Amino acid sequence: MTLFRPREATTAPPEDPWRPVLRAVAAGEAGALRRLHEAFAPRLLGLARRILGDDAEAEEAVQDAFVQAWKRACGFDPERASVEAWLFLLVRSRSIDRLRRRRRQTPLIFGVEDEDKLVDFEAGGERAEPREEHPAVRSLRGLPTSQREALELAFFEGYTQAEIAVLLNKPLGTVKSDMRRALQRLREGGIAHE
Amino acid sequence: MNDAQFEDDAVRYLCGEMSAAERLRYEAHLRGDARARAESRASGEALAGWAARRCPAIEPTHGAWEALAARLPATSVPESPRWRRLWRSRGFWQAAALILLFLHLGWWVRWETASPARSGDGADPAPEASVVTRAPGSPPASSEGALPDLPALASEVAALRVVLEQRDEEVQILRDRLERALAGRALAVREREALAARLGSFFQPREGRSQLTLIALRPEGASPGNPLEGIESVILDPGRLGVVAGAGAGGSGSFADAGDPGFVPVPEGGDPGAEASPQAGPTAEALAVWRSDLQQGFLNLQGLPVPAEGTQHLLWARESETGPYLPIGVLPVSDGELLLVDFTVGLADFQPREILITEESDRNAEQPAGRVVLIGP
Repeated sequence: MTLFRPREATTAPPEDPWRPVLRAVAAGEAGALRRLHEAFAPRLLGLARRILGDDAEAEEAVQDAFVQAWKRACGFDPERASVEAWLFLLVRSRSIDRLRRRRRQTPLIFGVEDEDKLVDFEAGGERAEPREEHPAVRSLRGLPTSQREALELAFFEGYTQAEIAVLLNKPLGTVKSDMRRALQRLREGGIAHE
Repeated sequence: MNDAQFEDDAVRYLCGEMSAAERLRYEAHLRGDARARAESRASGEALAGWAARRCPAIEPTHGAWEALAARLPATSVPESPRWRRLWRSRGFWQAAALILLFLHLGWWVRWETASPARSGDGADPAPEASVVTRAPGSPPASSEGALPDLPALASEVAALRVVLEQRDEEVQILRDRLERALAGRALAVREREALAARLGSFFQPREGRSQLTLIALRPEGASPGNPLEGIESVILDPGRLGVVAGAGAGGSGSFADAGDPGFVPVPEGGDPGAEASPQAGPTAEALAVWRSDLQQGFLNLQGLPVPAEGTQHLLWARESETGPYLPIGVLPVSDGELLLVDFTVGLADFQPREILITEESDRNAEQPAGRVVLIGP
């Protein structure tokens, strides 16, 4: 039984210029980690800052990711990611961890869907406006594509697809297909340079 | 798995939305399918590139690298040569700093006491008492440039201070979470007592406060069998939880061999009359406790079935949702009885986020490939 039907021929991963540096990290050379830090820390900090909205916490998340990279460099699989993408996803993961921990301390109440279904009879049966829009939705208002909205909420805000469906008041299936198409377009370069 | 489903899974994997069991299946699929690996890699690259372009770069603050370097666990790379471990060890640098300090002080004392230029015209080399007057609170006038400059130690102290401040903050956050959990959430008295009894076999009341990571393991899809919701990190105070020493001591205990970290030998023979149970029983569940201060873990297993013939139960852990699993060792056969297992992983500064028990035919498997018996969180 074929588990995965290929759409295109397999190609060997492109040569990664940072692979030898990560090998040196795996061998325990702190200087090599410092090279990675010097090269990538500004962009990784930008990503963590975008997710966490706080400079100090962003620095901590980037530190967490580099400590993890130091410990896990031996297990790095070049067939599954480039060093740069690996670091980005590590930082994203550590930042989202912190974001979710923060959210657990001040639990969000997802009431948008329910409120949206409320009917204001005094207003002649018109659909009532939600009393308060969720900040994550408000911050994305005006962006052109629903695909990007969904992807941003998932990648930068750490929401699950089910939560995004509630936040955007859309069926879960629509959110899934939006995100699938968004990723396809990213790979094709369609919204890569927005 | 068709294309659409694989793409759905890829999105959820890259966005960290999968459960531990789903990630395990997805990664097993990637390991066995080069094209899927290539697809997943391309998606990850595209997503990371897109994210990078949407976030303006920010220069790290001064001393960011030093603070990071201070956090690097020196012994986390087992295959490092001895000289490199020595080079990285704190003791080596402390010894080197002390030697430099003594040399520097010795040179300074000698220069201060013996230099002709310090004793006026040079005719009388005998030391003179000197009196320096200064305003109260002002620094000594002669101190500038006289004491040795130790930038390395100063930066280390600064970095350690940053780390300590971060830890204090973490401890406060965890303490607040525990307070809330104990005060208002769903820990009923009976559940707390049951949890305390289970922890009691590992946690000694006289040890005072400890920071523990608790991970509840259960069969895939099973509803929670204890008051824990997945993974919890708590500061445990024996007085608050009422932990009873020795509770649960009726189970069989074992300890990992220190010479072979994490390895727990399988008892010879086992129970010849026991029927092999291909599925975890409905009551099978486990509570994993990790003590960061001791770098030691504890597993309280209940209802674990006897593994199928020719297989054994392997224990795994990993630190991140997407990283490789670390093989910890083979679990003793318990035949459904309460089983208590202590374990270590042989790495410094390990912090598990996922723990897994699988049934494997290869006891030396490098990654889990067999049936998942229990998984957490």
